[in-house]
Amino acid sequence: MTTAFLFVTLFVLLTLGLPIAMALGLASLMTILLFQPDSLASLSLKFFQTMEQFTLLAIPFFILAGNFLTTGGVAKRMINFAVAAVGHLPGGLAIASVLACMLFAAVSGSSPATVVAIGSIVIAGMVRVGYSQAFATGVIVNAGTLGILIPPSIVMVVYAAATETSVGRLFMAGVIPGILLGSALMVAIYVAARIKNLPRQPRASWTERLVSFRDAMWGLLLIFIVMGGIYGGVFTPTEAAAVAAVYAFVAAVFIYRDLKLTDVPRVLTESARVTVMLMFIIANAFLFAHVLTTAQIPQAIARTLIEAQLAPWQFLVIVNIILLIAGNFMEPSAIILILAPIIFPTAVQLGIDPIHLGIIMVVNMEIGMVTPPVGLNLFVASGITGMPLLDVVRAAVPWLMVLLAFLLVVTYVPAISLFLPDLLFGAQ
Amino acid sequence: MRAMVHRLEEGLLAFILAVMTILTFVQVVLRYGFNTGFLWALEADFYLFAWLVLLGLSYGVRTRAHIGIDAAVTLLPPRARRVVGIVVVALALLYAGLMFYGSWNYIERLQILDVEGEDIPVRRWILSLCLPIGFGLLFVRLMQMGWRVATGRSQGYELADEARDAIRDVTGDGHPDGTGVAR
Repeated sequence: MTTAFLFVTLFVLLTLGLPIAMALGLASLMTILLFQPDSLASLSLKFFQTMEQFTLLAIPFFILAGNFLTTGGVAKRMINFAVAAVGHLPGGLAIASVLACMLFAAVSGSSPATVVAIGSIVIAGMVRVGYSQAFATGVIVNAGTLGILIPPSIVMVVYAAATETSVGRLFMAGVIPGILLGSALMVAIYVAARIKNLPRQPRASWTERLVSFRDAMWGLLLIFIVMGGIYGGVFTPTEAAAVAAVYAFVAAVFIYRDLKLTDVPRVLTESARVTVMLMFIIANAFLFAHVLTTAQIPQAIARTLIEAQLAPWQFLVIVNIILLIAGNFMEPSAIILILAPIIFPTAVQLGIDPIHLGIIMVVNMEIGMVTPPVGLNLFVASGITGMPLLDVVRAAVPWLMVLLAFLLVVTYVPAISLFLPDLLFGAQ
Repeated sequence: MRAMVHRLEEGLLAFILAVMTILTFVQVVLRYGFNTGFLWALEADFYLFAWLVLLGLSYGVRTRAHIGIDAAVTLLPPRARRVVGIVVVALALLYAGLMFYGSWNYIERLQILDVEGEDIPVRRWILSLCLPIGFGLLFVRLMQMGWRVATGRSQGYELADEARDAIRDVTGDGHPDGTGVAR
């Protein structure tokens, strides 16, 4: 009864168009007032305590670091380097665009930002040398999803906070899948280019490659500071994020000079705005999860599934389907916070590694960003190219197949996710 | 006057975020470089974060930062859409009102306990005042939006346009109220 009321209320509120954060909060408040003994004061305290989680403090810092480096200038330098490195291959410009998305994902924790920053430059460039606009857009929409798989990733921070797993391990676990998915997209482009006879760029000399690398290096250094610092035990992921934000400020203002000092307050305000939006959802999702656990819902689901003697692979099929559907309708952080408490207990009992589950969830969220009706990457791409939304959807489909195939591989080969964290931090 | 309040709001949010970042950064430098640090830094970070988020709620309403799903509502004819809009603003007000009431009760409890922060020598009820202030301001901003919907100046609840926001963040096309990040 409680469960039904909670979920039906949430669904109705969301459909009416109440912001996700307040829909989660109001559904929880109403359920508690009707069915559970908690007081409103204790719920305010719960809301407040969300900000007490040191892990979540990484979110504003990573957003800030990303905003300092999400400038056209940094994107252009990464594209130049990528074109110099792989542009001479068949379909070179498209392959270079994927590489540029991967590099950019390593400074930005957001997928739509990656699509805008890289896409607004390379799509026009590809069309100019003879690619169809649909081909160019389809590639970028999908490659842009790497933003949340390649660390640093805000979605991973949220998962870590919801399930009390290690952010450092999750970040490391995202590296190999990120490179693998990028490579898979590149191979698919290479094959398509051979068939369609797509243009190559002139081969760059080693001097050009070196110069363009040196130019892009200052941005890329960010990811090495973050990963190196976490791995070396110099700092926690949250501290790494703060160091990254300060570094990004120095790089953008003093090294690249893309930003003037007078621009800094606006970058701060905008980062605060995004932080507030996300944290408002997260704090309310924690209220929602609190109601769920008070009503013993995750435990009941786990019991039912275990008694049904579900094999781990069958369970993962169900998880993937639920996540893919949810991903079509809601913001990744909200989905993770609502579903992680439900899925997690069963997964642990079935012997599925929490880190592996995290990567599966992130890849599902990636796919949600390129499927209608709320795939944000599609809207963003339509915005920067002027293509009608339906055309963008159609353009994205062939490459979406690569993402879906990749999801299967990541789901059933845990080693892809777990090899690196186990190697660096020791097996759990 | 209005412009001044807006700039104060933006400046305050930017300031809090900057202080949090620098404080955490300095902690790392002190610990790694000098093997020392501030005992109160962790707690300060927590309260700064809480103030940032709670004061930001109303700012998020004003700048249309809060995301939601409008796929169903946009299918409605204008009149029905406005009615739904008023209902949704009323629901949002209910949320803000309940949270404000709960926060106020919580502050009253803290006043009775009359304890200080763990490492910060200030009464905890004062440190936690961002709760009622934040939800109170949220309530006020939602009332303003409700007025805009009722008088027909807005079609419905003013949700964020995420795609436009993402493009603006990178390309620097100005935000209607001048909060865009210029590049």
